[in-house]
Amino acid sequence: MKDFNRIASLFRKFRTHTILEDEVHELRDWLKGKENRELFKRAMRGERETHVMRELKKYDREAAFRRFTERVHPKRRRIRYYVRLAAAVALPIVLSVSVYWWMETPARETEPVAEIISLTPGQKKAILTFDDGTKMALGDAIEEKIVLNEGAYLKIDSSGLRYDFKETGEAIKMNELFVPRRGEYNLTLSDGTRVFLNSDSKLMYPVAFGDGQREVILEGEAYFDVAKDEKRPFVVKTSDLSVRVLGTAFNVKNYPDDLCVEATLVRGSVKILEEDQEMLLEPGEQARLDRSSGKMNKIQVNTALYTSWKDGLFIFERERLEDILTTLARWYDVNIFYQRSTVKDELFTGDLKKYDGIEEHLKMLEMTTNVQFEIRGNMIVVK
Amino acid sequence: MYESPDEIINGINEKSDRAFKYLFDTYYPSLCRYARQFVGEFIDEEDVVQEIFVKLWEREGGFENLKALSAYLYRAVHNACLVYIRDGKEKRGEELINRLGDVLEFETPDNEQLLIEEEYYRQIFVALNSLPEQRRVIVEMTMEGKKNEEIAEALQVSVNTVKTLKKKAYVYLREKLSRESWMFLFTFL
Repeated sequence: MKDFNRIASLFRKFRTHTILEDEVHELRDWLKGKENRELFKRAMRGERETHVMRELKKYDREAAFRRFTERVHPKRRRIRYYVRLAAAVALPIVLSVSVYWWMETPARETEPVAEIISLTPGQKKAILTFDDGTKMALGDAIEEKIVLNEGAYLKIDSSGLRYDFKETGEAIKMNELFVPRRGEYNLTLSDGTRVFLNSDSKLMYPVAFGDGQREVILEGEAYFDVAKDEKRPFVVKTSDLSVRVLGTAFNVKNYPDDLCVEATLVRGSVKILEEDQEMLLEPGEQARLDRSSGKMNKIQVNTALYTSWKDGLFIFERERLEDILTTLARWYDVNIFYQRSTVKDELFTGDLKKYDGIEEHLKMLEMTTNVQFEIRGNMIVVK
Repeated sequence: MYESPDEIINGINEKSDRAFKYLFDTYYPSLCRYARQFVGEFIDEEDVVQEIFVKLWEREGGFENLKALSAYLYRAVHNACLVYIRDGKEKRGEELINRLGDVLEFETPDNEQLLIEEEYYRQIFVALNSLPEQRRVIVEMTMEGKKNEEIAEALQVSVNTVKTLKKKAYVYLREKLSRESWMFLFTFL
């Protein structure tokens, strides 16, 4: 049996018409086997493959699994968040919800990159996927106006992405915006809602919202400034809970590798409902749910800690070193290696400017904690 | 990452949420696509597959291995579709029966071929989805015929990074996929 890679490389050369004559002979010899011939024929039907992948991708596995668990565990505790808008409140209510969860997703592998890229901070960048699967790279410099339909535009400029759409009563066309590590990006949805997407995060949303509730799906972290519309609640769906609001601003965080559920209220009033318990939050309070015991506690927090990322700052207050470095790793796209795991629990308090080089931050951390860092390529070794 | 096949099968036999989540992640789209070939135009294939999973949850008795479970799932979907077609008030059932011809029985060469192909797509789909996001995007863009330079520009990383990540993705996919699936995929890369 010939080496797979060799044969596959011959296939590829054949497809791209770059195959050399003696390679044709080699391929022909290999094709003498009946089984091999079948395989070859199948492999040459290329477009079908990409098409099938697209079809498979259409099915929402998360939603299907949620539907399933609702049926097989009808009594299970589910967490629901409602924002109760006080009638007298004129200002937008700011609610920050951080969701950490651990069970259902496979742990995301970090990206070990062998070469040195540069340890400069992230910048504006994202990949936009249209409903037909085509992708478009967005960066700082691009300026464009795309006509999606009659009277419907997608404007891209230095301030981000903006959907200018006459809403027709029906939610149409899902687009997807993915922000890689070392990235951040802003967008404005068809209803005027502003979204700040953090590094390594993905948002799926319709090009125009319909008459029903406004729904978007989030993986990772985003800050929403929701356009007020009491008739159409705004719902952010994440892998294990939905945040439902009328018109407010809040932060949602659900990176797959983080651990518990938190909801933080900045301004206004919010009611958190779980199957058989409910909790009213005052500004500056946080509801924290321990997912294993199902117990929910209320604590006082400094809400700036949960939303400062969108304003160019990382604010830490007696934060564990490991959590700090996880945040930095997403923004600078580096990997962290701990020589001793005991240092993970060292606490740090301070403000770090997001657009400074990571070296600055490490120096600061070295000065105020008991650890030393060494940068090797894009790996940070914690000693 | 995912557990070993034994752990998964034990999880399914013990009705663990985690194992069922794994099944949804790895089989759900493929089962839907399979169902769609039978009833797609007339009813929602997702409803059919949802029912099968609920039945599996309620089912007594365990499975020996993943292969047996996989065969059970496809057969169950197949049967459910046929029951729907035959017993449904749907007049178009007749039309469907005619069109489906040989695949109406589960154990026919045509259906077997269909299932082999489905398994092969399923594997590629699952493997692609288990890549870290950035690597998956790189592989997908490559499949669409994009060059390294274009990908590098899109992701705002260096061409070398694209190459490195791609290489890693390939090593991973190669390990994860059966020989046939990998060869197929590789011709696109």
